[in-house]
Amino acid sequence: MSTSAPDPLIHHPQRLRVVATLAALPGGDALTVTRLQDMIGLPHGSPIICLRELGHAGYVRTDMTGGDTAQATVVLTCQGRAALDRYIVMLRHLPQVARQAHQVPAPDVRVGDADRDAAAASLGEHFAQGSLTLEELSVRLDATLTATTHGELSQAVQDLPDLTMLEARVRFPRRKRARPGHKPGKPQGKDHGNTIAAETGQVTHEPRLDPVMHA
Amino acid sequence: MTDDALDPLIHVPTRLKIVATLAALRDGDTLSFTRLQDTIGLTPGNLIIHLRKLEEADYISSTKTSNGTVSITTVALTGHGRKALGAYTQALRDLLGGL
Repeated sequence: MSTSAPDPLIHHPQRLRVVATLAALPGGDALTVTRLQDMIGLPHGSPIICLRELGHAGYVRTDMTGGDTAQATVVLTCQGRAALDRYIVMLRHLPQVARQAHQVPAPDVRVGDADRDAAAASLGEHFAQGSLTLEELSVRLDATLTATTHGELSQAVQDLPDLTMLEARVRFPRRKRARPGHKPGKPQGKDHGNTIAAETGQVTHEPRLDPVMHA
Repeated sequence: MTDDALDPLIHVPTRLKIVATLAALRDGDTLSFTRLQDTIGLTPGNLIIHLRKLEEADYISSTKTSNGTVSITTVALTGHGRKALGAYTQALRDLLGGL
């Protein structure tokens, strides 16, 4: 996922400062290297190294028409601006990802299109897994796509199993499907349970729980 | 303004992710080592090293509980760590200005 890791070129503290300083200029404005040095407060020489690295990536363009490094001007390219934008989005996304994973938003918190789309996609997945009939799916999709708060949204998916566990459950037997001699169409979970019972003699073993315990 | 305005302990992408994940927990909540590992997608060895560095700086605290057969390590952000992340976020915000 491109949003999960910060762009290493921009994430470096000095380069981040250079890129941020250039990005704060009105569109297309160039800055002399000496001026940039003053603004950032870096010792002589170090911005030049940054600029070389950023230049190689096509994030900045250095113009050295005079042949004198001190008179050279530097400007952020469109590519550099886009990379910085992506970087900022990634930073904003970072704590959000974590929050979504561990905290359920309050029921009266309003939802956005992204939340509705995610909920609709998960309903589709539940339908594909057989947890929902087509009728139930369409009723719940309607509820999901018109939901305005997290409370309304969660009602549509409340009684459905955790999808991450569902994935674990189906991944297990899927490997078995590739084996020769296996009858397709037979319930996968049951097949897996029988195998365990036959191999270990543990008749009381609850096969459906097994992958969940691994998850 | 110097470069150490961005706390190097937090700035490393992996540790930033760890700290941000732990910061999303409510005060007093902890996260198990395995859950953290799953969330961030690291190998145990890698995660341990980053956690140790953060623990040495008192940014996180870890507790190991054992019931005889299974031992569970849980980690949480300390008040100090939360403050450090706050300072880091502010430094980044200052740096990026209104972008």
